[in-house]
Amino acid sequence: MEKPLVRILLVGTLLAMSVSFASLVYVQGQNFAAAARQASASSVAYAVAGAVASAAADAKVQGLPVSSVVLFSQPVAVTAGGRTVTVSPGGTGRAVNSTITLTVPLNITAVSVTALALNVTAYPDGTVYIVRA
Amino acid sequence: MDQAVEAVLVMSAFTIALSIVYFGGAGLYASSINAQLMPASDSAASIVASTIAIQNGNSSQAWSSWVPSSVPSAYGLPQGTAVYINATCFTVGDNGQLMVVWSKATPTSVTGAAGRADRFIVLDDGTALRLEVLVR
Repeated sequence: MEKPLVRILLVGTLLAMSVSFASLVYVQGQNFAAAARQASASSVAYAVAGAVASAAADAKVQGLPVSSVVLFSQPVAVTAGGRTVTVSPGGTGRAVNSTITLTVPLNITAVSVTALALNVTAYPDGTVYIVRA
Repeated sequence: MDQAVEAVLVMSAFTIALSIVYFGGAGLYASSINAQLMPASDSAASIVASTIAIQNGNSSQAWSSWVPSSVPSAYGLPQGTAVYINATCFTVGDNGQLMVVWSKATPTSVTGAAGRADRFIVLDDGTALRLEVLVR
């Protein structure tokens, strides 16, 4: 009587351990994937905001319009206006997006575009145009 | 009972091996995310350098009265971001030697892998300025 009972308890315990471990791995995997998507969105947002700020700075210092191109490895939805840039890697409607607000007095003309490459043109007065390249 | 002990030992060994694989994978994920964030540090440094350049332009007067700030919110960066700024203004002397007019830096320091941006600006009085920004 003792052996089967021990065996059943042992198998039950092992099954419970396996299920809890599998659940943990699944939840952690989901968290890692979400963190990676957010990191990617943040990285793209900084790249776009950096290109805007860099072009604006060069235009201000040189007193001439300055253009630069930002390339992406996948289509990115970019919404910008005023001093704010919001990006959503993978296109519009994706759950993960990232927003950066610059602290300098820039005037990014309102734009909402999905593209693999962007052309950023800045003028000495602080006006910035973002268009699909 | 011997079989039961053997099963427990085998399962324990399996669980330990699985844990090692799992935590190894977690480490790889973490390094992958860090690798993705590294270009963001370069862009963040560029944003800081550009913000300062936009504020001061090529005016030597604006640059000489400028006080470097390592407060991340001044540049739109999240709290906890370490910012180091070093600016050196120099001119070329009569004998062709480079002479430092002034040099300013934040008291903070950034150690380890950090994003970096450099700007070289010619000012309106003929002097030149090198701006170095590190962000982590």
